[in-house]
Amino acid sequence: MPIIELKNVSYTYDDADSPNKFALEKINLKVEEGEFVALLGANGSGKSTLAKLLNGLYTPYSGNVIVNGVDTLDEERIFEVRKCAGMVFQNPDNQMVATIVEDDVAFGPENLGVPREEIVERVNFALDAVGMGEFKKNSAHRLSGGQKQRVAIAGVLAMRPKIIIFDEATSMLDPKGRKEVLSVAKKLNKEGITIIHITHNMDEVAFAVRAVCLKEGRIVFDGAPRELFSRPQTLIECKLSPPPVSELARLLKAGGMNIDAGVLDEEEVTEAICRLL
Amino acid sequence: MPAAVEITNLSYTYSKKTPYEKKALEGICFSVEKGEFFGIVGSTGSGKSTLISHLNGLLKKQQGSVKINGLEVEKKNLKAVRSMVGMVFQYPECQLFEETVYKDVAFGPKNLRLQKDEIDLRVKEALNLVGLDFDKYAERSPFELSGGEKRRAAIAGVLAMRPEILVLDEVAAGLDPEGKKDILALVKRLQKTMCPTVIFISHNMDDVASLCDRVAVLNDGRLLTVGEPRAVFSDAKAIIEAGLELPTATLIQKKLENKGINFSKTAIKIEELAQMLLERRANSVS
Repeated sequence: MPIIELKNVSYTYDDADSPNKFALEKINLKVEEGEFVALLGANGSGKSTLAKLLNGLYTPYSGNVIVNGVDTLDEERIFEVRKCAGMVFQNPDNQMVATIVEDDVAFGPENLGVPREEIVERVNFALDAVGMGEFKKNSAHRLSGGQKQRVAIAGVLAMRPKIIIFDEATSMLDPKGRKEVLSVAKKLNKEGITIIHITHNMDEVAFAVRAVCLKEGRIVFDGAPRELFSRPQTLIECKLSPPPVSELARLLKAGGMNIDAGVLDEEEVTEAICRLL
Repeated sequence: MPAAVEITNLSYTYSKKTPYEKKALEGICFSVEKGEFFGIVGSTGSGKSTLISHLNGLLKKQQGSVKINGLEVEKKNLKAVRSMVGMVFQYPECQLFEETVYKDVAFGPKNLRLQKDEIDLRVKEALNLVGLDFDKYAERSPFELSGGEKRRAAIAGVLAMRPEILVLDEVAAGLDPEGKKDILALVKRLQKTMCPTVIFISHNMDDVASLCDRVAVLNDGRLLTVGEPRAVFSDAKAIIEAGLELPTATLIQKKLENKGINFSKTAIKIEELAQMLLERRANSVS
């Protein structure tokens, strides 16, 4: 059974009685447990709307969203959905609820009514998992952007989720912070957590095993990042830019070199060039 | 002719004589000539923001000198300096505050106590420059606009002051690829029309490499180096030590060099590297 399943999901921000524009239209998508999916699209493509449907912040206009076997329309079980699918948002400064790092991470489990000893255990585990253990007594507002996002991830982890949704969680970070967050995402994925990473930065897509592209509320691509990169036309259609490495591969190919256009990163393109020179 | 910006021996320390004392800048010296597209790069905490806050006197100088078109940035010159230096901060859309786009863009000129006609003219000019149609946008609330439009409206507010020197702090951050392309094209257009001197702060070395005439590298409050991007990025070791990344082309070139493929010149743009590789291949085939 897939851990996330969207069945014919549409969503509109218009008046529900007379919608004329859909932010998402007839989306069908299955994500298996343990996948690392990059969800891509330009502004206004519907990717953040989709993210908010995944943990019941929004409920579909029509169709169903099933998360870990629970329909998000089932109001009585919505907390199960939220516990299972945690979200990390874009702005590191808007996600802190407490002044001290460990208090911030404890906020979620406290609200679940978890016993104190277990909260301590969960907080320590979560902060260690994101490499922020030594900062637990620090004041949250003095951290860097990347560190704040890692604390936000710890806050989600303390809820013991099966899925973490990164809603453009790297877009306001510097390159170092970006790397920190991505490597934490990768590590958690290895430990079995399903990751949905929403971004429009193509450099980050290579991290994922699967890429899903949205355009005007519809899915126009669902496959391996390598395949996506070798189809620049799809990227352009989605108003996305190919990453610099695939741009290089494309130029070399156009110049007559027999190079795979789907290279993912600097390492691969280097290897490929070495073989051809 | 004096330089557009001349910085001599500038140092700054935050929270002096407290336990939180932190040296943010130390002995910075460089100039930016009129007409330059000048980059400032450095990792987070390297002093970039402290440095640019001196350019229009937002931070009071502690030591050293900062001159704008030959005019020292100090209390008696602040008004003149601020009309010459337009600052676009990170996420400028967060600073939108008025009820309509018109009022927001007019805020600066109004504070200059210009006549109504002149204010009108400047708002039209500024909106036109950033590509927001006056009739369509002037009376809308800035908060209803899309992300890219908001940012352009915020930049229009700076342009309404007709600055000669435009300082841009991470102007493309957080935008989607199309929004980014639009905003960078806008900046280039502005340099040709209104603001001949552009100071461009960015973490994206590909953008710096393709846009800037010269670039200054800050590391831990000190000026590590200043020069043309190709010269600066040629010293890969220094760039990496400063906690920065190399442009993608330079990085790939380094990796190729590690595998024994050597180049006579450092590539800083993807197109250049592609060209070099294709030429090399043509030579080896023939």
